[in-house]
Amino acid sequence: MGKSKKVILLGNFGVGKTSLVRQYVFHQFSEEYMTTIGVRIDKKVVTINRDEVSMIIWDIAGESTHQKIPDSYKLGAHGIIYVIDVLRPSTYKSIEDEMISLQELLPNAPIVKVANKIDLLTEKERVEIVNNLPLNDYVLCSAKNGENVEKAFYKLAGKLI
Amino acid sequence: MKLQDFKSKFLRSWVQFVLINEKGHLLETCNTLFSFPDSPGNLFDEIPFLESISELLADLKPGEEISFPCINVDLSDFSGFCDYVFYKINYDGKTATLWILMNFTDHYKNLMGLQQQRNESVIQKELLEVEKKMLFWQERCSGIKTKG
Repeated sequence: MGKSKKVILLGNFGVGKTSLVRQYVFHQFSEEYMTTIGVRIDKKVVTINRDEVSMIIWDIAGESTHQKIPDSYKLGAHGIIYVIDVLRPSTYKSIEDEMISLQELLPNAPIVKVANKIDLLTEKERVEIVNNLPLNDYVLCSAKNGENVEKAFYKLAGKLI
Repeated sequence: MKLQDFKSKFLRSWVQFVLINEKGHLLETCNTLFSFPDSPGNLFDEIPFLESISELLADLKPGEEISFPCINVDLSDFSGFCDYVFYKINYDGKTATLWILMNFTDHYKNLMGLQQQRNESVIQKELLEVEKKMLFWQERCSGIKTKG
């Protein structure tokens, strides 16, 4: 068994955290929105440069800020994936404060920022919206068609070993 | 039957107690919600939730506890929502972890329905606002082009 790493998925409700996990772990997608309550845990083992990493993914119910989430969910997390919805500004308007607060809480946990639902944008809209997002270095993803989903998790896994 | 008996009988139906040793092996369980196979392996390897908190459990001091509300559980013959509480206790002269699972499936399913409705209406409202803004800017842009 490889190194075991707890990864938490954070972000507002409806941004597609559960869909990203379903796409990443099971290669499935459903158009139907089904809210997550509490936390659902899934596991995927990835190999990076011959190192096996066992990613235990905590898909946590969405909230406008991570401060509304029980502390025990975040306790001992090795890495964070923070998801936003490119179509809903409310899901990223406070992202700078969220990043600062998360870095204070989990100083050793790397954060990968994921901008989801890019399949709903034209190439032109993608450029416009991404240029106007606060902060940078997002992985542009689509849980629907799978675009860059592996890349987002792989990027985090690489930072965990 | 005394009050204490009723209480024990009531609690017995929705709470499972599991004892695990420091290496992650099953010591005892009451099988109220689900049963383990006859010779389960290391639970830290077999249950991802436990695997992810094994470091936290190792650091837990006797008498301390950690709780995790609303866990989506899918274990052998049980599927639902539980609150978990972990205690470090002394068992037969050795340190062990007591894992208590409280089945709140009905309560959380009810909450889930309410949350679903709330989220759907908030998302719908936000998307309509975005659409309205886009239409406004499209109209303004086409107006400028016409004037030009």
